[in-house]
Amino acid sequence: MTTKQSELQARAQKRHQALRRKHRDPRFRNVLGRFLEEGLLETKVEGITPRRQAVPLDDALWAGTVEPRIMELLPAVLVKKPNLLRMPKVLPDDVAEVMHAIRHGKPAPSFRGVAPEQYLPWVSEVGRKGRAPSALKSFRFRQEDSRRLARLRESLPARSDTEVVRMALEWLEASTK
Amino acid sequence: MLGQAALWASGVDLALTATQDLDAYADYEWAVQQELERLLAAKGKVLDPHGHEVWMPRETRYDSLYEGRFVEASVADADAVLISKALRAPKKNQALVTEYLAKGASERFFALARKYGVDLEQFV
Repeated sequence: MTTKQSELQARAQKRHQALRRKHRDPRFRNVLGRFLEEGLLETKVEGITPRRQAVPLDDALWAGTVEPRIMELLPAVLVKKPNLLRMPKVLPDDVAEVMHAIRHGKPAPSFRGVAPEQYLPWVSEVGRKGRAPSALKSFRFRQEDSRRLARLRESLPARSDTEVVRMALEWLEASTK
Repeated sequence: MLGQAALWASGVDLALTATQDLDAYADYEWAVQQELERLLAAKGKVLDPHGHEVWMPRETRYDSLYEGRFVEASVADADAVLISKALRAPKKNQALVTEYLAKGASERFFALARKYGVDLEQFV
């Protein structure tokens, strides 16, 4: 090992000690244990045991600064599995903003250093798999459109007007490829 | 097998934490992919659809993980995986690379870091 490599190792050891202290922090252990119990993460961090009790959101946000994979999962957990967390009465602005964006299909912001392309894929994997939250959209239909929707709902058959529109959109997209 | 899953499979002595997605370079028929996805799903895991975009050094060694009649699987070596992580996602993998340096990184790791211009100072 060269002198430079030894010096790097010594400095890395100091930094690693600081990280190990954070790994021993109850906030980190509880959050990781909760995510472990839910099957969202696997870990080889020593002594982490699965935990069923919800963890405070603040603790999860702090633990996410220690382990970025926690932060990457948090937006999806907030929307699809909020019962993993104990929410404060007032949500931090960025938390409320990311939840709103996911729920309403709005352009997603970066979340505490995690880009949307990193956290959005988890939205369909956390909780009920393959399900992303649906977004409310309103349209102004003429009476004839509404009657057509009702007729199609009966004849297809479809469970709802939304399902008719969804089927029509899929068909339209497939036919225009 | 690449990424965090490769580190996990190689048994490297690091305090790993991994999400449930699997990064992989794959050359397989659709039916094999379907079966892989089914097996992963049974373990609560998913195949990362962007796994094939992961950059790996040309020097990566792939050790055999499974050799079947129709299917072979191999795992990327830990040094190459860590170089990939250090170069492409240093912030996300800071703790991992720091720990590896602290525990005594291999000569090969240092050589790959030099070759690919990985600034190891950012991890200490």
